[in-house]
Formats: sequence, C-alpha cells, structure tokens
Amino acid sequence: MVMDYFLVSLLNGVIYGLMLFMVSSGLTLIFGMMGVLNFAHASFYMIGAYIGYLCSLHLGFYAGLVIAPLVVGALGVFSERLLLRRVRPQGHTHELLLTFGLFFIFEEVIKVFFGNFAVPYQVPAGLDFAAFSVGSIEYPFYRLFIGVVALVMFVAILAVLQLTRLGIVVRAAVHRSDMVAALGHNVPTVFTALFGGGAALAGLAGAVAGAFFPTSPTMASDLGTLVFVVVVIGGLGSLSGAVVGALLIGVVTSFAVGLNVSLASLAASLGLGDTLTQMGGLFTVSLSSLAGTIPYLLMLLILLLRPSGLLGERS
Amino acid sequence: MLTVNDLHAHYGKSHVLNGVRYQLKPGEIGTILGRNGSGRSTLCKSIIGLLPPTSGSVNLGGRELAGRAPHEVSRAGIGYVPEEREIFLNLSVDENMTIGRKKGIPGAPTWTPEELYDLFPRLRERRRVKAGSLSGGEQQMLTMFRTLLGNPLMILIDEPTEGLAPKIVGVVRDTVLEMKRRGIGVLLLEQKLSLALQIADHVAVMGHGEIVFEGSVEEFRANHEVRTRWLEVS
Amino acid sequence: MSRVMSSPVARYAWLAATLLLLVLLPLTDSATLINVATKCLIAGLFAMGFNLLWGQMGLLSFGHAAYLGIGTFATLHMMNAIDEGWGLPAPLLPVLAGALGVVVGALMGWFASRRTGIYFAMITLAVAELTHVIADKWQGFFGGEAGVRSIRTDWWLFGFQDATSVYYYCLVWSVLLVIALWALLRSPFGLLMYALRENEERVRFLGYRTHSIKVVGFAVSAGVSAVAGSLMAFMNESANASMFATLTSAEVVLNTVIGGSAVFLGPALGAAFNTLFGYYIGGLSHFWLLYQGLIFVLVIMYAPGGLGGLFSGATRQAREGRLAHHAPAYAVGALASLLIAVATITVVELVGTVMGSSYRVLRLTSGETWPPVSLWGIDWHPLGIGTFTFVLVLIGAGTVLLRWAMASHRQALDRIGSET
Repeated sequence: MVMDYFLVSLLNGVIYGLMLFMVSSGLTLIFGMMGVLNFAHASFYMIGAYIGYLCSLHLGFYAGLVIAPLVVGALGVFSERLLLRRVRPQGHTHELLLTFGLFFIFEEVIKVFFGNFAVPYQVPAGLDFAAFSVGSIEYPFYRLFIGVVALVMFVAILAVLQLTRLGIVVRAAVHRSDMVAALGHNVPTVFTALFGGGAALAGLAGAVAGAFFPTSPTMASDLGTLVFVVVVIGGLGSLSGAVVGALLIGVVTSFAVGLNVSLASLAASLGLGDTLTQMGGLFTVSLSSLAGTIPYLLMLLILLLRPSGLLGERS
Repeated sequence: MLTVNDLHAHYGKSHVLNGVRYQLKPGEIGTILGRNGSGRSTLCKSIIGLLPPTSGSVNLGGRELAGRAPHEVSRAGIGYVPEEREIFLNLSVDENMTIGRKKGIPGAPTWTPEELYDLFPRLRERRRVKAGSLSGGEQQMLTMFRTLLGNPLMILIDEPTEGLAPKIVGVVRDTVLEMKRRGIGVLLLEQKLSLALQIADHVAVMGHGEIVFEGSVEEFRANHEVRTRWLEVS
Repeated sequence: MSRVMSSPVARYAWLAATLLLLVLLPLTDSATLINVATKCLIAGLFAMGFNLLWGQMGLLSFGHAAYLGIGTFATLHMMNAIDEGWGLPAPLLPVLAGALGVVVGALMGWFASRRTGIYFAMITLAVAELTHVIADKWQGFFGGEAGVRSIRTDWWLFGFQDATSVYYYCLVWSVLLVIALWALLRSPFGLLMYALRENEERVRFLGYRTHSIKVVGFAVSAGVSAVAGSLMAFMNESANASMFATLTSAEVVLNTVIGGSAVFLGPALGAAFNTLFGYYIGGLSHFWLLYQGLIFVLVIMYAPGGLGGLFSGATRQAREGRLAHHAPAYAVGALASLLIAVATITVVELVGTVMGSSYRVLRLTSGETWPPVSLWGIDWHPLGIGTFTFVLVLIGAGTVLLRWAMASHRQALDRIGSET
C-alpha cells in the first residue's frame, strides 16, 4: 500500500515536472539571453489550453496540438516585436512591468471570450483509459501521454540547442549576447525567434495539459509563480537547471499532497505528547495543506544562499 | 579602406572619444597604442557598434557604418577580437568556431577551420573540450580564429598579447602576419609596445580620446616625448 | 526628471485645493461617495508606502500584500480585544499595526535587500506567496474562508459608527503619514535612499552601510502599508485570507505605475484613479479589469511617467509658457485616444456579450440568428457590416490622428530644444 502510493506519487511528480519544464524552458532561456523575466509566460500556457479547447470542439483534439503552439508562438513573436522591443531602451524593469500588464490583459481577454469559469476541455475518448493499475489505483493513460509529449519536447529542445547552429547561437547569446552580435548575428531577431519558440512550447504544454487539468482563466496565475520557482531554483538562464528544478518541484509537490499528518501529530508520535496540539495554530494544520509552502521556501533558500541557482552558470 | 572620421562617443555623461580620425588599408597592420583609459577599447566598441558613437563617421569601402548595429558592421566586413578573450565558456571549442562562421563580403579573404587549426594544432586536439577549460593562450587563439571564420576584410584586435607566454605571443604574431599576407587590414590596439612595434606598418598613439601621434615605427621610436607623455607609466 | 518641482506657490495651491476638497467631501452626504473616497485614501496610502521602495530606491516589490494583510489582521484582532474590554484607544490602532509592519518589514527587508533587481522582486514574491499559503491554512488566526470579523468601538468623544467618521479617521491618518513620508524623503536619509538608487557603489564608498539603508526603507514601507491595512480593517470590520493573494500585490504595482512613481503624490493619484475606475466603470462593465490592464500597458509604453508625470509635465509647460506649443498636439492626441477607446470598448463589450451564456440562450430562442446587442443606446448587429465599418473607421481615424499628434509633439519639443 505504501509502496503503491510511493510509485504513483513519483510517477505523477515526474510527469508534472516534465510539464513544468515545457513551460519553464522558454522562460529561463529568454531571461538568460535578454535579462527579461517574462511575467506573461504562463499566460501562453493558458492561451494554449484554450486554443486546444476550441480546436477540440471544431477540428479535433489532435489538430489542437498543432494549431495551439503555432498560434501562441505567433502571439509571442507579436508581443516581443511590437511591444517588448519598444520599451527595451527604458530598461529591464519596464520590460518586466510590461509583461506584467500583458499577463493581466491576457487573462481578462480570455474571460471576455470564455467567461470566468473553467471550460469543459476533455481528454479525447481514445486516450481516456487506465494504462495499468498499481494495487487498487488505476493509472490514467493520459498522464503518461502528457509525460511522453513532454519527453519528446525535452529531447527536441536539447537536440535543437545542441546540434543546430541556431541552438548554438542561442546558448552563446544567453551568456554574451554582445559578442554574438559582434560576430555578425542579428541578436534581436534571434531573441524574437526564441521568444516565439518559448511561447509555442508553453502553448503546446497548455493544449496537452489543459485537457487533463482544469482549463480556466486562473491557470496562468496558478502556474505562473510555480514556473518562477522552477527557473529560480534551477538558476535563471540555465536550461539544465530548469530540468532539475521542474522535476524537483513536480516530485516534491506530488508527494507532499498525500501526507496527511500535522506537525502536532508528528510530535505526538515521537512521544512529545500533545503539547503542540494544545498550542494549536499552525501546528495542527496538516502537512499536505502546507505543501504549497515548500516550493516558495525552496525558492527563498536558493535566492538567499545561492542566487545563481542549483545549476546556474552566472553569478 | 577603413576610414574613421571625427568620431565622438560618450559613456553616460563622460566624453570618451573626442573626434578620432584614423585610416587603415587592407593588407596593412596598423597599431594604436595607449594607456588604460585612453579610449583604445572604446574606439573598437564604437567602430563595431557595441557603443554607438554620438557623432562622426566610420566608413568601409564607401559604406557608412557609424551607428549601425553590431551585426550589420560585422557583416559589412569588420571583425572584432575583444580584450579579455570573451569566448563562450559553456560551449565547446568547435561550437565557438561555429558561431563565428559566416559568409564574408565579396573580395574578403576566406578561411576554413582546418587551416586555422593548422596554425595552432593544440586547439584542434581540444576541439570538443568546453572552452572554459582552455588556457589563456588557447582562449586568445580561439577568439581570433572565431572572428577569422567570419571572413572579415578588416579586423580589430584589442590587447592580443596581454598576459600571454612568449611562445604563444609568437603564434599570435604568426597568425597576424598570415592575416596581412592574405590581405586583411589588421588594427592592433595595445597598451604595451611589445608585439605591435615588431610587425606594424604604422603607429598611432591615443590619449584622452584622441589620436595624439601618427607616424612610422621609426618616427615613433625617435619621438621620446610622445612615449613618455602618453605611454609610459611614471 | 519630474523631481524638478513646480514653483512653491503653485504646488501648495494645488495641494491646498485637493486637501480642501477631501475635507469638504462628506458635505455631499452621499454614503457611496464617502465609502469610495475612503477606499481611495487607503489604496493611496498603500501605494505611497509601496513607492518608498520602488520610486525612491528602485526596488520593485511584488509582495506588498503581505504587509497590508498583516496590518489588517493585527488590527481586527486588536479591535476584538477592545470589544472584550481591553482599554486600547481605537485611534491608536494604526500605530500598533504600523509598528508590527515595521518589525516584520525589517526582518523581511533584511533578507530581500541582500539581493537587487529581479532577485529582490523574486524574494518579495516568494515571501508573499508563503504568507498567502500560511494565511489560507491557519484558520485559527486568519479565520479560513469566513475570515475574521470585528466591530469598531467608539472611543472618548469619537463615535465611529458612520461612514463619515471612518472617512475622517482615514483622512487624518493618511495625511499625517503622507506628511511624514514627505519629510522623510526631504531628510538626509531620504536623499541617501535616492542616491542608493542612482549609484549604490558610490554611496558605499562614502562609508554608508547600504544594506542597512535598504532595510530601513523596506521597514518604513512595510509599516506604511500595514497602517493602510489597519485602516482597511477599521473600515470593513472584516477580512479574509484572500487579501494576501498576488492580485493585491499586483494592484499596488498597477496603481503606482499608472499614477507615476517619480512624482511624490503620483502613486496616490494612481490609486485614486484606479479605485474610482473600478467602482464606476466596474459598475458599468464586466470587463473593467481588461480596460485597466490596457491603460496600464499604454502608460508603460507611451507615458512611463504615469498620470502624475503627465500632470507635472503639463504644469511645468504651462508655467514656462510653452503649453500653447503643445496644446494642439495634446488636444488631437486626446481626441484620437477617445476614438480608439470607443472602438476598443465597442469590440470588447460586443464580443463579451455575444460570448456570454445569456446571449447563447437568446440565440437559441431566436432560432440561431444573431440578435442585436444594445450598447451606447444603439442596437449593434454582431456580424453587421455597420458594426465592422464603425470600429474600423474609428481605429483608422484614431491611428492617423495619433500619429499626427505624436509627430507634432516631437516637432514642438525639437523647436524648443533648438531655441534653448
């Protein structure tokens, strides 16, 4: 029973982590290259889910997996070229504030079109079955599907970055964009492409995950801060850091949700009596409900002790 | 021909280039000497576009380049080898070379990676290694090779021999002579008088953001006053 | 830039007029107006506190909801204590809440100020998210979904049972704190904070401990925010943990940027604008948050100085007799913005209505046609050629006019530049 729970939690965590990585990878590279922390990045994830939903109504689920990243990628290119680039001369804080405003607008535009509540974006019938069962738990195939898509994306991102010239230019530009420019590369255009590519990835993640998790106007803000946690923990600008951060956060949250004990009961089982229970307050809150604090605690620790992140290469 | 005319540049409010005039022909080695803070490195950055000049002209073969973006200047045929050897530490040697690769302008001498590795075989042996683990001399050669793969007509090299072992300085010198042989105009910017004076065709001295002396190597050697006033640390 | 002050007489005239207006406002005897005005005061004070970090020291906090909330809940619990017979004078509640804010702020500021720029912002965000999660779960103190309720108790000669008395209570505290902030910014310490923003290294070389300056700034900023939270508790007599949400931290950023962080009272102006906007436009349209977001982005892109920057720029031009040069551009620009705004609102409202559930019912009952939508007193056909023409003409005309206005504004600036 404990083993079953462990296995399922681990699998859930890894898959959730892979999905987090799909959204985080673009964000961390964009930061590395231009120093912009894009608040609207998780919005691309949300918009991807909604486009996936629209496609599932009219063109079919699989069409959505192609159309969502294309449309969201185009939106990313548009945002960078027409908006972000204009405030660049005024510095990073203005860029940050602009993306913050875009985040706001995207959420509200979604509400204009789809209302305040979740839309019924469904897992297609062909993918809606149990893959296997662990003990009494039937494991949904769709979770594995999310994991596989994320893995394929992961391999594709790595292949592009390691093997293509564009990928090498991006990696170099993350560290010294001025030198890359002096060697004849149009850095602003490369950055636009990166911004669009990152947005497209987030859009794909949304189209895939939205069918399983709720697709609602709050999904950007729900995921947004978590994605920040991932890139900060991994090290802003570090792709391998984003992998580690995403898996770590995925697994940690997945495990903590199932822990139905409180600090007080823990103390009691250690023979400390029920003093903590009597003190009440935070001590009687179950650990699972405090699980939400773990990512932020980790993020704080990293920021204070090692701001370049676990695998960050720049200080 | 590269012609710099009345070039001015500012860092914030401080005026760092104060009307620089300079000329360099293809196949020629020119050198600009100057102490730290004389405006040497700023001149490079202003020509290449990393620090856009506030006024003045940078002209290559009739094409005006002042104020253009760095990638445009680079594509117009001006290569730049920065001081501090700013290689991409997280990339392999080959990947560093890949970034430099581009088609040159018509008429510019062309280079292949293998030719370059022949000039300094040690780098070929280490081509798959992360550039961050190279020695200072290897990094300097990699920075130059990377720029040469962009097939420039003119190349600006900032402090090519700073802190290098004499043996590597020899390799740098041979490489620069090879550039000249193939018809590249080379501008060496140095603080010390070491390499530049052995191979330069003409010498200029910079101080306070201006060219304060121009002449042949012999004229420079004869001019004690320029050396003491603008170069030697008292 | 806009730290350049207008002439003292003109400035004090503006201030005195505003203050007089605020003092006389309850004469309108409109409970709604008084309530909204109280909200403006509180949001304004919160933004002023926030801007001590952002405007003065260049530190962007994405987690100021935490300090507002601490002030609110501390005050609610103190109010309950008073109700149970503790002899705490009600007018002093903000002092205690503010003191708590200062302490917590000093602690958090000590951590956050170890980093700068984006990393500072991320630390404040993490702290705020932590506080939010804890507030959500810790029912004993924060009251869970129901929240914490309390009641205002009268004190001495003062009764606090109507909107007007609460309004004056908030007004007095806000004015006092704003004066204190003004004095702080004018003091040598305030100049140090500003110098820190411009060149931290130089301040350090002068022998100051820059980290300590930041911690003090953070503490004062958190303290002012906590006082705003305390006033909020006093006004609403209740709160729940949802006030710790990111949205609250976001709103203060929005308010400050729209108002203009470089002008002393800019943040308060922005907060008042957005509060009124939320109240009046929010009553008219479901989509007011979208409009607010659009205004925010437009301000970032075209008026980085915010409303306060525009205002102080215009008064400076008026004083130097240059307003006439710019007036045509401003008038045309305003007209163009109006045209584009009308077109945008038309599109948003029509789309929003057509996509809504009640319209879907309407379509079903009308046999899958597209019934007209009423807006601005006109019936619009969602797919009608007239609707599209109207929107396109307005946007087209607005864009042309806006381009002309911007070009003309630039020319006027160039002309002045060449004259001086």
